[in-house]
Amino acid sequence: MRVRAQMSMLFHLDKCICCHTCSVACKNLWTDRPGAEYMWWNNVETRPGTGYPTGWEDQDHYKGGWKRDEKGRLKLTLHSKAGGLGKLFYNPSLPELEDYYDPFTFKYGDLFDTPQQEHQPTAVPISKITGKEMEVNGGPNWDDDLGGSDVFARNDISLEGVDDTVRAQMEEIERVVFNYLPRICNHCLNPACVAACPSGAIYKRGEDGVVLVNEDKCKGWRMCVAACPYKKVFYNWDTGKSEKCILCFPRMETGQAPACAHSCVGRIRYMGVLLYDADRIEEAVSLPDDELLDGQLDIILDPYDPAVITAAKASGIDDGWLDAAQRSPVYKFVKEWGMALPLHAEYRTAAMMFYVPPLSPVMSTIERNMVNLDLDAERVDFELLDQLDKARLPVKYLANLFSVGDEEPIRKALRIMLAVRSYKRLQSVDQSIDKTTTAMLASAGLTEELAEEIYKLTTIPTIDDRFVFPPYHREMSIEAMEDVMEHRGMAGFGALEAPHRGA
Amino acid sequence: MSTRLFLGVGFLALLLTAASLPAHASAPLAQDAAAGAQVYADNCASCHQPGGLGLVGTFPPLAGNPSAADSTYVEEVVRNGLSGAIEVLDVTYDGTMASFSNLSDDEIASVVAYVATLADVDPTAVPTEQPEVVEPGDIGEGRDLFIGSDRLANGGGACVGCHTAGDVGNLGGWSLGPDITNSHDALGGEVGLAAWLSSPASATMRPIFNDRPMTDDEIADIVAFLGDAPTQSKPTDPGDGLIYAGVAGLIVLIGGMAIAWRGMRQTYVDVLRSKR
Repeated sequence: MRVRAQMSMLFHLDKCICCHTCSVACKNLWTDRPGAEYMWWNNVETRPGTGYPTGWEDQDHYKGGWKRDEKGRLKLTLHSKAGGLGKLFYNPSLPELEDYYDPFTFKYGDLFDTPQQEHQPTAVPISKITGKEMEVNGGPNWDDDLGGSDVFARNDISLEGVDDTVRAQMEEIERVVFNYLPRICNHCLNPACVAACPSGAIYKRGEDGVVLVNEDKCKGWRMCVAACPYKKVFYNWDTGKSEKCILCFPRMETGQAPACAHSCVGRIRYMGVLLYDADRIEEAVSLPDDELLDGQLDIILDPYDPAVITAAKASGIDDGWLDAAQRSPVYKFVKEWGMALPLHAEYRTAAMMFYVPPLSPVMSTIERNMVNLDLDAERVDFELLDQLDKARLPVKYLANLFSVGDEEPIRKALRIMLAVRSYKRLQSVDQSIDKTTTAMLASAGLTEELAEEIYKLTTIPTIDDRFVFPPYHREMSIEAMEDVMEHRGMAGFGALEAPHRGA
Repeated sequence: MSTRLFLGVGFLALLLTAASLPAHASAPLAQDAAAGAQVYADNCASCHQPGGLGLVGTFPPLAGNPSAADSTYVEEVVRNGLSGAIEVLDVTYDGTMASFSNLSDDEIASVVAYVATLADVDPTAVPTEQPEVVEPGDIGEGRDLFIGSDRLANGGGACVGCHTAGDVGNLGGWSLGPDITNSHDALGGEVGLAAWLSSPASATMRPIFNDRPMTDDEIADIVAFLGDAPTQSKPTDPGDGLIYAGVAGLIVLIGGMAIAWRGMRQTYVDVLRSKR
């Protein structure tokens, strides 16, 4: 057992309102630069939909992630080593700018400079890349709340396996359903971008598992862009280098949450340490599809287990990190309660960002009587627990997103959320808990104490509950490497050395 | 101490001597001629041969040549070159000498002074027959050197970089420099050509080969090749056919791309929109 620590983020999708505050916070902090206009290290997608870049989940088209060959060995979907050499100068799997979108702004100056005339001037859209006037026909969430649904929502590849009648129903104007999916780099345990880089410029940081691009080493081959199944590595056309989400490591090192998580209005994001067994990564991601999810969750270790603690200390993980791992809200959601799942585990990269599947559309469905469930309106919550198939957002769809097509983990998570919600509602409305509710809690595998705990962390957590950061002890590593006073003079905004194209 | 004093006094004496000389002194100084000998060896000796003996029928001798004493004439020729028929020691020469205007005024003055000293040589000492070529080179080797498939040992550029000759190249060789198919005859046969190559005197070739001279073996091979060049058949001129073939190829290429790329250049969004 080789224990390593991973800073992991959890997205409680039931709380996401798609306000894009996270995206804007990230944009303002990191990608408001020439060459990075089209990049959204953090983006929020309306689902069902094709996301950003368009159709990123279609790996037949983009060839991201890993695949398992007949002998059970792991191969990059993108290319073999020799094939990579052949495609060095022209890689057909690479997304084009149109697959993201042509970033645009508006000629606001015209509003002030136009001489007096009969009609009011307008600010026409111009491309941020060419500066020329353009017609805006795409954006990072162009299908936001259904605009263009028959193009984007209908072609969501994760709807595969959903019953045709259900799919037809989902397109009816009154029955349309959607939820939101915020995405950042998954800082995978088995990153395809790292494996595909011909320059060896990408690495996974030892102390917290953040995957970073070394801008000095990057030669702009862009294999990482094509190999990442989540399309979360971007090519900066100005510097000629690739760049990606850095999980705001400078913020984490000083005990602050990443900008996207910190700014989240719905407080859907949680952060904490997960301990994992680095020796078993290959084994876990090489499993057959139906065992993949369990395999990945299995290598996340129990921070209370004495054997794990001993091994962790032997690997150089200090007490502060172990303490943070034990208090980690992510660990609770993922391992203790089994409510959170990784996005598309079938890409075999062992993504380390986790999602609690959304419940809200299920409730609204019932409340508005959109689906005839023949349920007692008074006891809706109780009966729905066993009738999740009637939910407007198909369980199969969520399973395609979060559990490699297996509906059971999704059902389990949704049941827990439903049970806790009914329990708390009854508690605050009736001031007492009846036997049916207790039975419902039990059927979801919960006790009253556990339900209270889940409720607290879901609904009324403080910022310190949501974000549990270990002490990074940057001062120690700075002292070890360089003169403290010199470091103080060099720290701050800007780059000591700007990246040079092709260097 | 005494050495320094001696040097100081000597230097002063030298200055005084120089100052006391008449300002209009056109008589060549001994040290001028000595410096001129070096300039001559570097720039002139490849054709006019060491000691100014020349090559009979190809490069006129300077030794025993009365014109060599006329410093105005010599300076004029060095600065501007010379072409056309001249007669020296009863032999007619009809060749071309390149201009050496790249030499500094001092260098020209000193080489003129040196050449003047050659005029005093007894004309009977000038050979009247060209020397034999001792070891003839290999035509094939020479061709390889010429087209650059074998490198020149001292790093000089291959001839084909500027010149063409004989049957070199499918489309002929390069045309930065003249076609040197007939250089063998123009420079008076093997000895003249070899002499030229040993220290090329044209303003363009000099900087290339001064520091990177060809070896004697290489010269012999190239001379052999150039001697054979006039007998080789010239590569046929492709004429307009090449242009037509190029245009046709371009049309085929672009046409093929227009068909094949129509599908390839569709973005994912375009595919989705076309499905609707």
